[in-house]
Amino acid sequence: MWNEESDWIGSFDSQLARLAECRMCSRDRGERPDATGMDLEVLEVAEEGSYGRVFRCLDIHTGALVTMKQITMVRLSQGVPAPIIREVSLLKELHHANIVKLLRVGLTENRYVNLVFEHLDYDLHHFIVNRGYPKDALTVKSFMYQILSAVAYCHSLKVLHRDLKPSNVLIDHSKRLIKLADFRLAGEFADDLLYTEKLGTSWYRAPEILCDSRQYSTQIDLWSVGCIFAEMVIGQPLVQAINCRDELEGIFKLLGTPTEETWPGITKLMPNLHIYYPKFDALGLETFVTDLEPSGLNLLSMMLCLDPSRRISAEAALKHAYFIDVNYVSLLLL
Amino acid sequence: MAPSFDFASSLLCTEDSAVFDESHNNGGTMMSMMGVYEDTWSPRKRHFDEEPDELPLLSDESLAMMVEKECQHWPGLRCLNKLQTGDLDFGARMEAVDWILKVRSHFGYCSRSSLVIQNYLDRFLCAYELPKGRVWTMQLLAVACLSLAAKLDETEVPLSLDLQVGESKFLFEAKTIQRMELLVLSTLKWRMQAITPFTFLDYFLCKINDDQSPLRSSIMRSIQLISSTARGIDFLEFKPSEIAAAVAMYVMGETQTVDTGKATSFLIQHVEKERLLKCVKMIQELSCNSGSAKDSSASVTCLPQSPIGVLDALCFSYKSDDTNAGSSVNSSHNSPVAKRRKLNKTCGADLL
Repeated sequence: MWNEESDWIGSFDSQLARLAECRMCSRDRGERPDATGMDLEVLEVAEEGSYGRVFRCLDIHTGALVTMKQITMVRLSQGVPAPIIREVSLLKELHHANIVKLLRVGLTENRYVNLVFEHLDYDLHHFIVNRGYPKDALTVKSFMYQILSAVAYCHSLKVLHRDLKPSNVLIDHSKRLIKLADFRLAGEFADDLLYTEKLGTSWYRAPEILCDSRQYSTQIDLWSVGCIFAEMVIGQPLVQAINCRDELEGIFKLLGTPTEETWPGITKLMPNLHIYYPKFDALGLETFVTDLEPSGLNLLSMMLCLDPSRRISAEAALKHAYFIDVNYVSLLLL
Repeated sequence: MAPSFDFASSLLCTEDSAVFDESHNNGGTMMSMMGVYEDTWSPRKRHFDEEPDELPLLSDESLAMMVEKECQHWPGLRCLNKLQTGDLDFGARMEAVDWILKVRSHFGYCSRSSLVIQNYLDRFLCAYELPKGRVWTMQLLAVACLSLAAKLDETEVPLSLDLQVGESKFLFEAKTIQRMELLVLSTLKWRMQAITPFTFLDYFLCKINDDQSPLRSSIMRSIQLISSTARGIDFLEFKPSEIAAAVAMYVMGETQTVDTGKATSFLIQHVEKERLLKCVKMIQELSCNSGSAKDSSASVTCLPQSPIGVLDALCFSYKSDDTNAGSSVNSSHNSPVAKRRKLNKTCGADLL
């Protein structure tokens, strides 16, 4: 490996490099990826994503199940795609029990980046849809505490996730352990937001993002966590439960169309607000999120607060009364 | 005029055929992939007037974590040793650093980007031996490091050709840059979250200002000084936290707003006292040199070569008063012209 790289540099402007390149281009590519160089045995294709493919694999040395995400570098003119670099470099620095572990990174033919992750049974979206949402109040509370722990950790390092949703929350079934995943959009200090997958993610997008604000911060993640919280309780996306033409209308129907009083700065951010959206009175969270204890509903209302500056932080949320009456250690041992 | 390292056109055709074959085989998947990445890379106009909301300060625990972690990212002493013994080409590195600073100001990236890019450059040079006598490899390395930093830190990533502004002696093909990017990523083990003095600066400024937000002028001054430490190798012996602490102490002392003794007693909880004082002294000398250079740069003919020119450029990304606002506008206005000129030159090169 090392020598190959040295050779490449040394022979950059030689005929040999051209021949090597030519052989690479013409090589056959079968359906099943050659993971030999990664010391993995491919068991099955777990997912076909828009960025590449996900495989369930067996680590040849340890016998452990792992997940390999194979990302194709499609557009050569831009070099290595930014989302890959962000995700890998961030995961290399984030060490937390509730954040998925990136075990190693490998390259195949300079066309694929292979990310090898620890394997978890399924994601929260799958859990809610296929196994019935966690009716057990303790499970909801445990999951929420773990999600908030991971988010608070990220925010303390000035890292925003920016794409929190049930499918990015992985679950280790036997341990009832939660791990956040998919940091392709994560980063720090950015003053803009780019979604690579728009379908579905807008259900968890904070109102200040939906209003096209360029100024946003950690609060956007807390809104997303609030949406996840509600979804675990009612078994479907909160915005989907409301009859509305778009997500912002759904939010306004639920919480009331914002005014300068309820959301200072909204008239500057969205001057045509009352042209596009009627003045809704709040239906209230309690209308849709039934079966949640009062302290849970209180915490949820602080997460799903229209005004970002008044939205609760992850660190403060962990200290909320909703979590006080439970022994956290026993939760993690469920 | 610049020589271009192109592969044979027939080889490029082969590459295109391969891509076409994949498109044919995968159908929607390929189209979907193309679409997705297309969207990711679509250029967005920057809003210079808008600033991101304040992110939380590092907590005390996070700071301790960062101080512990910075040693893993800090190439300083190893790099300095290699430069002094001649293992590393001092001149080539300096040339690469100067080029990075020019490009940084051209694209209006924040000052942090320069230090991130240099972090990549120096860490790579300590871990990987570029072949001797091939001057183009240092330039290619600088381009790759700049590209990687842009992708990590900025939402706008310039096209590969646009990255190579300024007086580059070589012009690299996009594919070549990608291969160097992959080499840098592998060599640095994909650990691209560089820790720079800017990681610590706001924390230190805030703490020695009695937990009050420091004046914007103090922040601007600190940014200037930290960016100045990037040129030359004198500050390579100091860790990012040491540089940040020294700059914070010097700047706040300069404004007479804090007790120096009190500031020292706080800062030495995080950095060694002897090294802090040594670094402060060097910051002071750096500041004096900048001042004298400023006097001598009154002449218009000297301006392009002046360190102050670089310092002024470093301020473009920030607005603190009317003067700087004007500078920012000018910078934004000039940038498209410069880019167009470069593109024309590139087109001319293609025709040859």
